[in-house]
Amino acid sequence: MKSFHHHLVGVNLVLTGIFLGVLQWSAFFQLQSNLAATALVWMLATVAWLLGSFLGLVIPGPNREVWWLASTTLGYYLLRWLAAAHVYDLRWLVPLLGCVAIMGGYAGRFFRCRQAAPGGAQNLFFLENTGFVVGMVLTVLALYWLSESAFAAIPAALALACFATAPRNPAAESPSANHEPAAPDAIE
Amino acid sequence: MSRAVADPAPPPSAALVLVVAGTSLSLAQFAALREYAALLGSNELVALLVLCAYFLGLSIGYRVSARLSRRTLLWLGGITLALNVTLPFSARWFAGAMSAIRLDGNLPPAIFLLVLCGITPFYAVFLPRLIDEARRDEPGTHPLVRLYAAELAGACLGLALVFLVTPARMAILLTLHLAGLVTLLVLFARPRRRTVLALFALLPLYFAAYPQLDRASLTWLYACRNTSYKNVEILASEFSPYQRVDIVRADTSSRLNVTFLYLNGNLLYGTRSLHHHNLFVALLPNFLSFTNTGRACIIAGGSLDNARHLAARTRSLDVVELDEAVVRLTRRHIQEPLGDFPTNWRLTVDDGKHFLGTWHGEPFDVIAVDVPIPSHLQTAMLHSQRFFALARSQLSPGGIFSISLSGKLQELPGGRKRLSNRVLAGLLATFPYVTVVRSGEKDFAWAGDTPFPLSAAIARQRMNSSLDLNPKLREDVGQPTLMFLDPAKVRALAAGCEPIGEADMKLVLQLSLSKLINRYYDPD
Repeated sequence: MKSFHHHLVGVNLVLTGIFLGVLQWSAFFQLQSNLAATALVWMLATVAWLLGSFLGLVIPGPNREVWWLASTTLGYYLLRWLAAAHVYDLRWLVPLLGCVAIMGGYAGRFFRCRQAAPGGAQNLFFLENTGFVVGMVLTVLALYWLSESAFAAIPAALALACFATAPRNPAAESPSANHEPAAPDAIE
Repeated sequence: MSRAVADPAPPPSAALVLVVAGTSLSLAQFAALREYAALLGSNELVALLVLCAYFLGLSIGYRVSARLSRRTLLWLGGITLALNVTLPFSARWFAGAMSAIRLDGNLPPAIFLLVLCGITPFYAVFLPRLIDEARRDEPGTHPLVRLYAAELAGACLGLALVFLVTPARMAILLTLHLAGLVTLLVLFARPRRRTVLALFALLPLYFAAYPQLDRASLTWLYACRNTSYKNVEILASEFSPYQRVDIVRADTSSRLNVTFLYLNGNLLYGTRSLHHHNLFVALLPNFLSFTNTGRACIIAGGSLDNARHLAARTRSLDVVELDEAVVRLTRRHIQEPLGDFPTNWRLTVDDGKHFLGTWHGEPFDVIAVDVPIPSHLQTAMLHSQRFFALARSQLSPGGIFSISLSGKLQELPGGRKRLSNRVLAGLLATFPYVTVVRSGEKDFAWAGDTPFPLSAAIARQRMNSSLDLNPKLREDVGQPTLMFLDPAKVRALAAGCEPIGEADMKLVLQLSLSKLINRYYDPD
């Protein structure tokens, strides 16, 4: 059972990476198509995502992971709707950046919630980051094979998959229950 | 779902290490996307290749973070530093050498491996390693939040540095990146040996040598890639937020002192073919239809040839260009040396879609889209039906929308998916009248709400009269041919073709792949 749990957590880490990769690339694509393709918009969107991640990571209190995941997903659909409804209108830049920041929130909260994931931080970042690359590539391939309309459903489907695979047993998340790789020389 | 356990503060130097690592990663990502994508002749596929290599490099670093000894990691850092001190020059010299020996096909995988193994893995080692070490030192704690927050803060700092220093000062950005790398080695080495501290001496040397090495490596690159160029001279090279802008002067077999404009390694000004393109897209619609009385708008007219030839022949001229650096450098190095550069035109630095979408002034008599084939999403959007409708909404009665069909129309059924036919289909779906102008192997479209007022014969006559009055322009374009395709044939060529959608990534990727193959793997 423990092995199954560990595998499930691993699947969740990869799926979340894919979800975040799809979300980030789709969001930038929406802004590029419906707002403006300027470097300033790109940079502000990147900062908004990083800010959202930072806040999701550091805000104390109960994890409330489901709420963060739901907010991130809703943030994406709100951005998609606003960007399509107000094409090329820079007056909507701030609300759109707010949506990007909300989307980034789960990118940070997820790591806070997985601090005790099996395999340690190495496994956590490796699987999530690799999933992110897969998400980037999948976004491009989906735009190639399916067109932009597929992104009405893909993020929601991925969010559900992340929810379905997310760990639910706090006891299994205690450090003593985790197998961690042996450490060579410490940096400190 | 689990509750987080409160964590004690980690050793301050761990956070410092991660801030420095995060900053360096941001700088490295920016530099990689600019320099190495440009080296490959940037398009969407190339950008994806470089980004994938960058992030997969992070995965490699994460994966090996706990498996390598301190000594091995120090060696990895040293090798990364030794490599990065030679960049981007060594990459350009390598690229030029591959072109010289006709083994260009090695370049895409080489760049992928360079970014994958030589840029990111070393930086990625620190985050998981420090987190796992802190947890071992303090069992029951979870230091991930503070340490990952430190790296995110570093990433933001890196972005801030790019914004404040600006991409035009790439020498400073790359020196800062090296400074981060040396700092990590110094923090990592125990005890701090003088030899490691001495590495800081590399930084002013790198910065001082950068301008000469930059020019020398670019000169080598362009000379190797273009065997017809002699006496290559780099007049200007600058990174903008969007691309690398190079202005190159060289002698060719037919002309001396020709000035070329390259954007991300793609040639966009200087050849007869490109002057032809400019003539038929931007100049002729104005010369032929609204002599001295029209209001013209040129989208993506960065070379400013349009400003030179149209400012005096229009009532008003708006040039819209996304990249300010292109306009500034072409003005300084291409237009002003020719003398008599007009000033009675208006430049707007903006995205063409956004400009027309928010334009509330007088409608234009001519809107010309002077862009290359859509191997980027941005240029693809300027070939979409949505953009055509937007442009039509900003045209005056009798106004003309002009765009290249990116090649020659192809007979059906083979032409059904051809780019030229699809662009034409979008135009026909938007405008009631589309005149297809053929010159040699290229087709252009002049679309509007009314038929084009001149016959082909008169258009040819007036074109030649205009060229005869302009020796510079005649020299650039030679003796172009001009014919109009039969309207019935035009409609037949577009029948059943799907217009380009707003987000046609399939088209962009196909063109990007085709361009990559033609550039590096086509034996001809």
